[in-house]
Amino acid sequence: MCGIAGAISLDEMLGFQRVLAALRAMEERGTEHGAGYAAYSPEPNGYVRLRVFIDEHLENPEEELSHLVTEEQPRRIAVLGHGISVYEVLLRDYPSRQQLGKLRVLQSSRFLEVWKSIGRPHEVAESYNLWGKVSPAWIGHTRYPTNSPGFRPWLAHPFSCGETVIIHNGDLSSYGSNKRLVEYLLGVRSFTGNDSEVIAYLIDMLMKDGYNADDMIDMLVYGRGLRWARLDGPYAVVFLHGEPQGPLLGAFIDRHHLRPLYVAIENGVVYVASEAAAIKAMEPGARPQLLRGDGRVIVYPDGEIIAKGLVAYKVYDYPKPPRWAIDASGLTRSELNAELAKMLSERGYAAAYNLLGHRYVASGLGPGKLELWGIVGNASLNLVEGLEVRIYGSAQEDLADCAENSRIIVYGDVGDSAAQAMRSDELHVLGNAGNRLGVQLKGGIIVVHGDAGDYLGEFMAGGRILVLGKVGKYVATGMVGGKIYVKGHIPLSSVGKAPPRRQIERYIKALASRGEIGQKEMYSALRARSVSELKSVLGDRFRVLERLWGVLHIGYPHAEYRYLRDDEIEELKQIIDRHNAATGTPLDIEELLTHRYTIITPVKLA
Amino acid sequence: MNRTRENKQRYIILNTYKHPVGDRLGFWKHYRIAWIRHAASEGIEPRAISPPRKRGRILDRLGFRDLRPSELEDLQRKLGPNGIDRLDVDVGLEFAGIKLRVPVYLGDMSFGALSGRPNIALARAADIAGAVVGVGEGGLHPEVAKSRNIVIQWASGRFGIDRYMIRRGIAVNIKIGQGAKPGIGGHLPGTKVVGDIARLRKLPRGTEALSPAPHHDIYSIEDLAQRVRMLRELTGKPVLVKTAASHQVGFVAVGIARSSALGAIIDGAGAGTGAAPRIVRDHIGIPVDYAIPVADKLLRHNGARRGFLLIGGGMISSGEDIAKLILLGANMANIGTAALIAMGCIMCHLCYTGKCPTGLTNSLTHPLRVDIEWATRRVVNWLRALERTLKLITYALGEDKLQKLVGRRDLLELHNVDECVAEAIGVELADPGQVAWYRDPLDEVNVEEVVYERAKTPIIGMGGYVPGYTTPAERPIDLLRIEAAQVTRPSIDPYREEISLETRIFNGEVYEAPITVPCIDEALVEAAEALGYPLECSLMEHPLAISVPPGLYPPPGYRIVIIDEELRGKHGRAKPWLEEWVVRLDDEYWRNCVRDTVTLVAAGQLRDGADVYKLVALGADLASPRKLFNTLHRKLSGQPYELRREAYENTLIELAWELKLLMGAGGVTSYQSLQGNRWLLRSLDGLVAKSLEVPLAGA
Repeated sequence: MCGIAGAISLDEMLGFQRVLAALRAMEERGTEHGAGYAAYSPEPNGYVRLRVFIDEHLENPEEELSHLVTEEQPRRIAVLGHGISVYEVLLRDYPSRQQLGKLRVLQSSRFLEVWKSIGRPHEVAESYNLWGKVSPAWIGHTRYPTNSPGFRPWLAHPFSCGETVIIHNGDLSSYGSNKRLVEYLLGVRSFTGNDSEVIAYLIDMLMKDGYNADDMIDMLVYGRGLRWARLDGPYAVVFLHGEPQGPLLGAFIDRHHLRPLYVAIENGVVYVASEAAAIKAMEPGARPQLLRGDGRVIVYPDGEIIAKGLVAYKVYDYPKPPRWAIDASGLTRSELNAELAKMLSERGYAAAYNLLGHRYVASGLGPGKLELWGIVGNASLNLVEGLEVRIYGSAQEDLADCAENSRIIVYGDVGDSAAQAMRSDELHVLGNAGNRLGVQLKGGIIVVHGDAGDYLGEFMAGGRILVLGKVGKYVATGMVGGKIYVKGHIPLSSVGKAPPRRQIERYIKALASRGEIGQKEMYSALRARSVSELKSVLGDRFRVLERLWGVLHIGYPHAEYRYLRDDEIEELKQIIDRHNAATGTPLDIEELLTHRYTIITPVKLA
Repeated sequence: MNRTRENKQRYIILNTYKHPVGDRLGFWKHYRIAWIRHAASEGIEPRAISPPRKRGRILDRLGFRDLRPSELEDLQRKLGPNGIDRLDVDVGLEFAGIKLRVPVYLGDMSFGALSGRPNIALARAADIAGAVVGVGEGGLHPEVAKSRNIVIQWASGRFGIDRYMIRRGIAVNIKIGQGAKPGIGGHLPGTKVVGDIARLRKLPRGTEALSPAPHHDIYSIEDLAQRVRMLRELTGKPVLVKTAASHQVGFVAVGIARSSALGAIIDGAGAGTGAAPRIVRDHIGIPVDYAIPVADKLLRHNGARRGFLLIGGGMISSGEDIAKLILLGANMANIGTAALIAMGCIMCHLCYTGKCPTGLTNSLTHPLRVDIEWATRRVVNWLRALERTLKLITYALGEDKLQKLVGRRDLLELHNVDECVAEAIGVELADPGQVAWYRDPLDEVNVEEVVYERAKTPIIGMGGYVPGYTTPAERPIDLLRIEAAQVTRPSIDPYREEISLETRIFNGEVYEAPITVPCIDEALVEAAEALGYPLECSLMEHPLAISVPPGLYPPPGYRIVIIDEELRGKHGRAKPWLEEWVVRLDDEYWRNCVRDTVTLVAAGQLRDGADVYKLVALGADLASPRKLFNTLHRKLSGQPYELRREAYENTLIELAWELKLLMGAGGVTSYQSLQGNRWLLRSLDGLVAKSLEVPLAGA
């Protein structure tokens, strides 16, 4: 649930305003039901800051904290309303699990500070008076609660455990398993009921065990090593780990990219956020890059940066917007859309610049010509018809859902699920595409200059997709129509979804040992890399193996890596012609046609 | 029956009721079908309210505190239908700018699922009787479009949706999931995508029409909120969100309310459907009478109830049900199956075959046609009957508007449930008992031929079946419901996305599924080995393996512990139950910090993938569905070896698919996240919840 953002600088202090600006740019992702921040901020005298929520209607802070040996009296640092306040005591050492008992702990750490409450991001900042605060590393979270009430300040993010503090956008389906591990291994007895909490415990535990952040993320994402530590379900996590040398910031997302995360590395500062627009809000000059499924970014205190799954950023020369174009920077999305609708109906041509993640841009509009500069927000150009659109910049998630008879050109990247269920005409992406490009595409063409993510053309029922860069995994699963061209070779194991390799091999060997296939066939079958190859080797016997796929009779993707056939050359020529005509950045047709392509088409089992 | 010609094709018009088949094990028994037919013929239900029952749904166990069934019966007789109509009582409500006469939303049945004529009848009846109808996912039928009270659906397959159609109704409904198959996608075979169906769905003829399991643009509540706002701004109409009742349904409802949606349709377990995998229909999601009061309470608690419509569905069959649902906290009822029964459904469960004998769900080429006039009249009558019952109850409760009674749980009392359930539902307990009711297990499992002949998941249409609730349970685990991913995370389609059953036990052995196989037939052993499933006999060969009956602690030091129900003798249904002992030993090993060095195997009278799911989630590492294999063994005896082996293989593969479907529906992608994850389970019964350390449904 929610919107998350973080920033870490290698050599300067960052103002609080930056992370607040990011959260405000993502207002749509949150509600007034919780927000919070954390920063790297060592206690000057080396004490552990223990901060707890106290319900002053029911509890007395001195009494609640009396069992802790402290040098000073508990100090109230914030009043959050409804009788709830935050108290701080300074301790010489970390409190034990028993000492914490049932206290609602906000933090107990030497190097970090955490602030959270109910309310919108700026209201929480107000409660703690964060204005003017600086730190080399910040994280912030705006909450849209779905698994626990939205009126308890301790259920807001971040969640912290020792020197680890995390913010999480997601919903763990592994919560029950993770919780048991934390319960028994760490002796934690009292849980808030919010799933995100266990991530803080797990990270802190693994970091204390001496794993470095990269290995630790492997354990959480892939379940390597420690059992029950694997995180399942959607998650985008950003964490700070306080170390004496400085802050460590990490960000990682689930294997399937079920939550978005964008990253920018700019002048020694690393930014992460749920939306590209939020990164722009932190640093207008930043160049946000998509983070792919199971991607990660880690910034170690010594300045080492590890990045995996970051999509390359390309720079384009954009034309200048016409003088009469709308400046979107001061407009809400509704105002912007009203203006665009008016211009389209009056003159058939609309333009706007300075878009900063405005959503639903021009959804349901058409016909006419539309030009946009900036970052186009989620669910834009949905249900459009007869629209000719140029986007000079990037588009976030869900662009052009159900678009018909529209030509859309993006001089930048597009986020996940672009052109879902598009029925006709064209989408041209000069940058890269996120996951599930062309999911259940029904018709029309899509051309991508750069890379495309996982599940390209999932459930595709018609149309053509041409990708000139690389593609991710699970290409064309559930494909029942249309055709995909990918320039160059892609591993056949990336096409469709197959049962575990080990199980297939085991069964092929069993077939051989039963004498149903010969030794030679067995070795050919073991070498086969795709359904089609297996089918041709095993012939009739494939029938028994087919059950492991379950749905081959509906259709499955068949891939071939080869030079184009004449009819395909003709088809690709047409597509590239249309692309060149549309984008004005001509691709070299002759050169492109000399390459080999991976060509993916659906076939059915008879 | 009339025989006529239309388009040179012979067809038969149906305008009478056929003898019902009924749902022997499920909810839609003969008497309920007769009840609805009576109402649809006479325009009045046989009785307004009945005394609370000892068994069955929560709705059946609820009584009105201050109403006596006999008094209402007298009043009904005295007033007669016309007298009831004259009562100055309003049971309707304001819905998307339209005043409805009855608080009924006729559930989203698409053109394609139904054969067109029933869609038209429902839409016309809704206009006449003052109800509202959802058009489902199959595009908008031109005849249906002529009606006023229609709600357009925005579903994951986007069939037929364009910017004009989306604006054609009085509201838009984003369908996240349905009660009968939460988290499961849809598939209309290419052979059916012809003619009008292809045209209206905007699909090329003969295309396989696949609806993805989740919306691939809605993986989270903020994604949903974004979609709600987008559709609201685009259409200028209010937006509803339909979701299956998952474990966190209360929070999901609050999330929906905060998204600026007009309301939430919460579809409970046991709701109808054209086709669903049986395993999913029977085990996923919680019933509506648990979901609605919890959602209502949480909405109020979060200050999000005012102006928000809560619409509950799933096995709602009478005016009395609707009244109770409203008192529990709903504003309206979502009804599908009962409306089909009013139009002649006989509950034969063949909807997905295209050969519906009552002309409701058959394919367009099938000769049977339901008479639109007749069907419209039946539905109108039946809606009038519901209206009259509701008027009578509202009047008897001394209120002039039914909507004023929303959430008046204090007017109800609960019979024969435990305190935990009564507290979760928020109704006073009149006499304590237990939700769970048991019967002796059947000797054999009902294994369908498709399982072992073709390795296909059995599919079923319609019917309401919730073990331990509509139907007696055999064991406590029958009372456990499995989590569905709705709104907050996407469900995973196991046929197209990866769900790993890779099972690694303490000594590093890796298996392809956590399904243990008893060594009762050589052919079965060979099948299991070829597929990589663990064998009980091989596990027992381990020097530190032991087999214990439930109730006995294994001596320390053993690394493979098989908890074997059958060691207690053939009919050893004594306490503790197998599942209780799995929970106990799992906890014990955790407490002693040796959990990861022990492999716990649950072996006993287990039947299917759902049993395996539940035992693994409760704490077993592996589960052995012996009952299924024993039945199969008997069934296949005398057959040639090859045939037996293939049948066993098919069954083993199918079991894995069942397990994956159940996991995927809840957004679980690996065995690792399933094992010991009791959070994925909810109990319908308080005592079972306590003994299995599983949260109570709704709580």
